[in-house]
Formats: sequence, C-alpha cells, structure tokens
Amino acid sequence: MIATVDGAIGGKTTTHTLESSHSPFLSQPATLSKILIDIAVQSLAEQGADAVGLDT
Amino acid sequence: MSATKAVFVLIHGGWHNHSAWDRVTPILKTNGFAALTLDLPGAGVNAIAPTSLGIRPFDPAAFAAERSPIAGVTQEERTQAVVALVKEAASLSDGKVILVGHSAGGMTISAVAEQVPNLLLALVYLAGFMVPNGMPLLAMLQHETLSSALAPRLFVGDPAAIGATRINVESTDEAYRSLLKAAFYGDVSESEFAPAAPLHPLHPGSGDSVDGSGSHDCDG
Repeated sequence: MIATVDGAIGGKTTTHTLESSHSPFLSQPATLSKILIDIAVQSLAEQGADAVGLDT
Repeated sequence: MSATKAVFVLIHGGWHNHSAWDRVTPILKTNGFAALTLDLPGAGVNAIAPTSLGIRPFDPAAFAAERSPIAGVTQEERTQAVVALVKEAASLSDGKVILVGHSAGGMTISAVAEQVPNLLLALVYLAGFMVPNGMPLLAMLQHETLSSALAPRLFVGDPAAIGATRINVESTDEAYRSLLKAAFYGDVSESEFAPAAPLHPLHPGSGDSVDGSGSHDCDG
C-alpha cells in the first residue's frame, strides 16, 4: 500500500518489505527490530528526515 | 544514552495501545536504542468502551448505534500527545528521533512531522496510513487502494454516525473472530490470539478507534 500511494503522490520514500501479517511487532519482533535498527543506522549516517515505509 | 544513538518513538495503531511494542522495545534497547511509547488519547488507559458493550444480554443493534464515548477525541489531541513525546525523546538523543507509526498511527506521525520536522531523523510507516495531506482516514479506508483490506469488513455501525471506527474485540462469533485474526494477526498462533493470552494484542476497552473524519492538514 505504501509504495502504491507514495508512487501516486510522487513522494520520497524508501520501502522495505516484510513477509508478515499486519502486525509484525507481535509475530516477527526480531525481524522488525532489525529493520528499524538498520533504518536508524542509515538515517544517522545520512542525517536527513526522510519517510520510510514498511509494507507487510 | 550515547549522543550518537537515535531514540525511537513508537506509535500504536487503532484498537491497540502501547503494549503493542512490548516485544520490540527490549530488542531495540539491547542494541543501544531507547524507545518511548504511549497510549494515544482515546486508546489504552485512555479508552472508554461503549456502554452497550457491557450490557447483557448483548444487543448488537444498540452496540452498532451508540455514539462513541471517544468521538470527541481529535486528531489534534493525538498529535500534541506525540509531539510532547517526540520532544522528550529529542532531549534524550540530541534531536535524533525516529518516529514510527503502525497502521492508523500513520495519520498521527504525519501530523507530528509537519509540526516538529527538525526533531526527526526519519518517519517510518509500519503498514501505516501515509495519506495525502487533508485526506481523512475514512476516505482512505474507502479508497480503491484498500479495496481488499479486511479490517473495514469488521466495522460495526456507521463510522460517520457513531464518531469512531468500531469493531467488536469481544465477539464470540467464530467467523468474526476468524476475520479479526486474519485482518490483524494472520501469522500469529491461535494460542497467542486467544482472548486469555497474556499478550493479547487487542485491548478489551478499545472497541472504538480514531474517528473517520480525522485528517492531518497542512499547506504543503
């Protein structure tokens, strides 16, 4: 959904895909946390406020 | 807290509360990242269940028609609650905040980002509503992009009339509960989804969620 909407409005979003149901914080907390940490590390390196989508 | 680390602010979605993140925050902390959560206005400890939900025998028609006790909770209230938490997080992290919104929480993180963009490193929409400015949640739910979404099939009553998107988290109807699980927790075990599960994800008092008219507005 995120990639579709962002494409339609011409936004600047990096989209990660996680094979899970709607609530990976419950079903895949470790995988979700790793993605969040990777986003943090990348964002700290770039120091820019971008939008990130996480489609499930 | 090291100044080189970011702090996460994690915003739950509709019908949930801060405990949605209970399995994530320990992992983030183990890796050196603090994480702050809250119960949004109208959710969690701030939730008020419709009176008809607790009356026996249960009257489905009354439940579908009752005006939501949280109908008066506004997007602006949710936004300001999260702005305050982002400012707290920024004070812990030298302004390095990563704001995460799950599902309907996406509406709020968009509004927060418009108010305090200088405090944010990134916005993360976790299966979240990243909608064009000014578009209400209800309009997004009715958009063709979400035509296959399961959650709207769970709605009880008319969101516009009752002032909330209402589901029956206490339903004992097998088909309804099956759809509830599929909509939110398709890859969660049956035992974890059982009503008595210690980490049952749907808060019993959270039958009502954000009203359908809430939107984030800016000139951009």
